[in-house]
Amino acid sequence: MAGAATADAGRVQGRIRAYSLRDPLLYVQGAVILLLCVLILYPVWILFDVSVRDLDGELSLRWYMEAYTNARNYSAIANTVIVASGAAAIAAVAGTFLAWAVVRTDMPGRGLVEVAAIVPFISTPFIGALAWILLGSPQVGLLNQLWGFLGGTGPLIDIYSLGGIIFVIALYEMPFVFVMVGGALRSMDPTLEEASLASGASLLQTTLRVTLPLVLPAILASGLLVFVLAAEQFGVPAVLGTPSRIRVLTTSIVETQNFYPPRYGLGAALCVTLFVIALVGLWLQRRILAGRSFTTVGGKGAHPRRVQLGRWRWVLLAVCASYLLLAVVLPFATIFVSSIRTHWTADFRWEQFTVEHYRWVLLDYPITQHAIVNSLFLGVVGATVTMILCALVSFLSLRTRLPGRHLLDYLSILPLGFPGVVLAFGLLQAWITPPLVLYGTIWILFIAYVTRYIPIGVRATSATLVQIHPELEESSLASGAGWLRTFRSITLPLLKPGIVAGWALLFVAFTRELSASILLYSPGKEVLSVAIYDLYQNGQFREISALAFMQIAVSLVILGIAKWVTGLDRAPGR
Amino acid sequence: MSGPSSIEVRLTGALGTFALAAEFEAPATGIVALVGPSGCGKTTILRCVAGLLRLHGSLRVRGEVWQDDARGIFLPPHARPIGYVFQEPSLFPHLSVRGNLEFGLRRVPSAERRLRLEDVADLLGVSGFLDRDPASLSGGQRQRVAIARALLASPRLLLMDEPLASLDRASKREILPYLEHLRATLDIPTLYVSHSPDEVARLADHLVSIGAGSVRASGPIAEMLTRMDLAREQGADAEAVVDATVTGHDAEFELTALAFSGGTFLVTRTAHPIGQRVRLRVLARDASLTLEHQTGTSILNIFPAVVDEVVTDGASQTVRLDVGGTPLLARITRKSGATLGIEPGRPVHVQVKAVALVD
Repeated sequence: MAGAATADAGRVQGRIRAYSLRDPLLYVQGAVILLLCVLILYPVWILFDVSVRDLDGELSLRWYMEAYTNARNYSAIANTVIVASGAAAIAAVAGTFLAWAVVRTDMPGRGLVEVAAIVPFISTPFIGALAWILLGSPQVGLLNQLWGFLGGTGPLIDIYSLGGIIFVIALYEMPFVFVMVGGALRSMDPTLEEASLASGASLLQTTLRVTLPLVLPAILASGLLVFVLAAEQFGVPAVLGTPSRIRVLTTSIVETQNFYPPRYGLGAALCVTLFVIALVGLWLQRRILAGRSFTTVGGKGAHPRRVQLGRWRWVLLAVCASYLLLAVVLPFATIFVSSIRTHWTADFRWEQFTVEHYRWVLLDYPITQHAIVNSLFLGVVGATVTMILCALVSFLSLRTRLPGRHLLDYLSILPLGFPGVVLAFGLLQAWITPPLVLYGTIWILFIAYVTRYIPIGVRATSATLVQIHPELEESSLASGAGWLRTFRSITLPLLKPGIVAGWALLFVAFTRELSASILLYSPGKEVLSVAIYDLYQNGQFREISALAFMQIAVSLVILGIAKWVTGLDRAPGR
Repeated sequence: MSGPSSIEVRLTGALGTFALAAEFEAPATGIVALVGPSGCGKTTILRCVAGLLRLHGSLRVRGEVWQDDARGIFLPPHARPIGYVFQEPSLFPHLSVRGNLEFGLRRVPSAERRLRLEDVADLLGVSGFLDRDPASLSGGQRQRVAIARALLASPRLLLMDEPLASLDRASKREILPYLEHLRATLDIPTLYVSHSPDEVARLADHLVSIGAGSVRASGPIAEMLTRMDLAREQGADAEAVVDATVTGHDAEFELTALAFSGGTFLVTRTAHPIGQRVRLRVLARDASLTLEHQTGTSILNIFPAVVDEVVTDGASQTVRLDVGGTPLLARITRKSGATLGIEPGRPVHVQVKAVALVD
């Protein structure tokens, strides 16, 4: 405790003050705040404004009436809640189980199962959904073909269903629960369980009455995060729900833009509804996390006990391995195999293998080349600009005593509550009219990406900055360097590991972004995910597979390099 | 000593680079202190007794076999009738104080419960905050709750791992009387790990001295504290304990008489009732020696004694005395020793300048 207090005092001492109104630092901070307001608050305000005006520009609630009374729309709201709750519940239960098995049992192959934590690095739910169409579509799905071959009647699974959507989202968001609950289980004070055992509670009673309640905050918080991420999901319900006419809010919002004339008011009202659902989820999540944390670092650095499972450890391993099979092995093997074959059938002949799909996608398909160039541009330039902005925000809010630094804190986490579709809708409305028309340029995508990922960038830089002792910066100030010189030649270099790690996460996220891009792209300004979505609408699954496989490969290479450079271990955002 | 009233421990094994080979037998009554420098294996032994850690060997408590590797017996911790108090209070943060106390109580079938929650709560002075949250308690209060929780499991052996070590001085002073009170009122044998000579002198009945993974000596406290090999390490801080009985109060001079096997101590009047057993601590440096019974002195407590053993340490000597069957230590200069001809078997008088009453 004493140590924390001193560190805190040191941080306060180390803060830079502005000594007069002529200090340029004040204006830099003012500019950053203004920029964040324009990026973050302006689209939200526009969105809200559009949702409460009728076609003549008069104040009206007609769009909300339509959103909540029209069966198409309210079933979309209901489906969103069902998908989000279902995915959250499954992910919470499965993720907790998997974390417990890896952290607290003597299950063999624990290290292998921990690969689960990096599943989101490898794939997005969108790519997972496409792979699962190849596996579980009622007609051509590989698993259903296999089922028929084994003598089963009818399809074994129908991935084009609410259950299918929930399954795929849960599969790919589960790692958030795994990582958070695993962390809580690792950092739990082991003497609490020992105290329970010594009080006469058996291992099972201890697990249920002590261990589980202690990690419950982590389970609830990560479950709510999955709830929000699932509610915001566009790609999965778009490809799995559309064939069976299952609508959710995100797909309905995109749909309103495809009418002629576009129904902006209704879209905005649905956006506000989704926004509120996401905000409530995040607000609950923050409340749980802000409450007392039950997991503290234990006294003598003792490790929590592992449960000796005996023969059951093999059963447990089978359960955990089946997760990896469903989330990683089957889908990626399917994508890879599909990308090099001429026909999608269960019987394999060598002459059916080909690299034609790669050639076609790269050379003949007109969208791919723009998309690769655009995605790389957004990835490289977007991630760089975002990280510089985030480093500045972290520096201003952690290392200065300027009034308004708390406002910076709040502004920088706000976009966490923006579903991509909602942000895109707001930006579209905000930048489609003069004086500044950004729609139709790549810059609207650029702004959307930067805005959406500020919280993740700031988290990466702030986490690094709090670990750097302010004395280093103080020495620079004491040597007569100004704050700008200090920021450039001391803070930025020290922040490099955090910036590199954050940059890699953002690069990968930007080359995969779909839910904002789907509303903001314009002809010639497509990005990779949009190209994949376009191929999906044409039903070109083998070509999708080729493109998706390349996307996965690029992500892995970039993350591999970043991990090699910095020892990165953070879960990514999308 | 072996049999239904003893604790027998035989453990060998290695934890990382640390090797332990401990073997001792102690009476299963009162407080048995495991003492020794940090890292010597005290806590490891305690954890093995609890079953939280498994080394090779055997464990027998009051005739019950808890572990015997030769016969393939190992009781898991929850099947051992123990209560465990950790160095850190380790209260369940998701339960209230009452919830924590009930956690221990619930694991005991009602027929085997020997203590009631209310009684234990009163005994440890935690009744006032039963419905509070552990996080809102002070360190001393939390540790008292932890002790109460351990007691409510109706243990037949209480294990305490430096329960005062994580507390500040004021909290220690707050808890010690409760521990003494427990020793006096409940008959629960206790293994008490400590590296504080002060706590040990106040609380322990039996001492097991541990050094570098093995047991160096084991015996009743009065004997152990005055053993020369152990006392020598303490140097000027060496002390002896004397168990005595209150025999009377002198109203006129406001003194209390405490009888022990070698005579009667007079101390400043206390509130103890006649007949109560108390413990006195006598520092070696507070005891001086004379050949004859001095009369012209302000010192009240003078007893005839016989020199038992003498150890020289530079300019000083530590002398163990037999005072009517009770061992005491005196620290004198080597010059005085030579002048008085102090050697084993020599009858002397010991003058005790100051005593401290433990309870």
